[in-house]
Amino acid sequence: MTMISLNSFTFTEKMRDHKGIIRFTDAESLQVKAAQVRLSTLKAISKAQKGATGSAMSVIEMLVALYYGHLATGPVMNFDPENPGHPDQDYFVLSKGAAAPALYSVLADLGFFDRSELDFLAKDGALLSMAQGAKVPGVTFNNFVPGHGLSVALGLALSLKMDRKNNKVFTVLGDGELQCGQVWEAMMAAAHYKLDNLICLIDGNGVQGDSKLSAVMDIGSLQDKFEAFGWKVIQVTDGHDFDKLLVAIDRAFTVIRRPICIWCRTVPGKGVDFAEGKSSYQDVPLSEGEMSVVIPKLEQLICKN
Amino acid sequence: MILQLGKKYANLVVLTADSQWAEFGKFFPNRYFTFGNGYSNMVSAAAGFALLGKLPIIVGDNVVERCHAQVLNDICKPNLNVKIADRKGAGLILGLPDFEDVAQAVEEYGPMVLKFS
Repeated sequence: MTMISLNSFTFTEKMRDHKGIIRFTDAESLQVKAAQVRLSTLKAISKAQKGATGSAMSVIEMLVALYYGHLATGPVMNFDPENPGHPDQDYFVLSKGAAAPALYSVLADLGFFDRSELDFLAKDGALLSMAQGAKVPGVTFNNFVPGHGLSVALGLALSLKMDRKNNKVFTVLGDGELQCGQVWEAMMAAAHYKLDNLICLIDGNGVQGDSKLSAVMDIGSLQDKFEAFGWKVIQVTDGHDFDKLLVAIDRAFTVIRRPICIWCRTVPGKGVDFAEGKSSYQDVPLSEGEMSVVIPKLEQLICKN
Repeated sequence: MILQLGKKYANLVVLTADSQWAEFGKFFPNRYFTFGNGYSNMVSAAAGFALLGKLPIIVGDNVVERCHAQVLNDICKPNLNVKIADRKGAGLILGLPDFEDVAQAVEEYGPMVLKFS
């Protein structure tokens, strides 16, 4: 297969789609956006003193690629912050509930709700709750139980197929979630119903709450496992590289009659130097001292461009 | 009965786990989904259907007993419109005739009532 170079695309670096949402085609602008999202996520988690730093940091590039990315064929995801839930939108289910603050930061940046809501993350009576099924503008289904998200996405995709619609359903799974039996039930069903509108991104950071995944319960080769179930697997060797992510998503859109898994290898705690690759930072917020080290670095990244 | 309901409500879908409701599938093939014995997947998928305005009816044996976590977290907490037609127990009865083993219904009724009343 010939790889398509993103540089050959003829779009301007920064563009607005027909709904006025800013989209990016080039990796540099997306990286700046990712740094912004990373900073606001860390601030929200640190302020709430609740949440999973390592887990949220590893999915940020994927979320930014989905929500801000633009391909030659059009925007990656269709959505409208002014009108959440309109019939032409694509659906996104974050199965990896620990990373919800990252999704909230993206949605706040897009204007689904006010940015100041992030300061009250997981407080009593706040909009941005960390409770199962909480209703937040722009969030299709708020899932904090591991392993349920792919099944919910499967229900959405089946329902869309039933109505003969072309909307896509995206979901992000952590690799620790793949230890749940329900995920494999959902995989079997998705392949049985030939759901080519279901795109599942796997955040393969190799770390879960306890320790390294390979030490707790190894999940082995996802390529072989997903293919045996009848899925199309696209590997992304670096889940923090926007060029690779966008090429993978572009390839995923061309697959027909098979559900698609985009297996991204990521680094837990990416962007926070002292937390990268460590399972001890997986499920904890950063302290104020740690934040004072991280904030200047990220701000430098944002301002440099 | 269910065929009448299927005719009346265009958004009614039946999700079944190996439960001999093939008759609905004969009349409404595009609204009938079989999930084999993947119970927990079926219950969570029903949440997905309900999110898009469908009216899913889950048919299976001892659904609430087997998938309490899914019923609780994916259907009850987000407050979604899903009906469970449990064949042996009777989780939430939907006007279906002929429940044979009513005694077992207690096992299903208990967790539902304790949690949500």
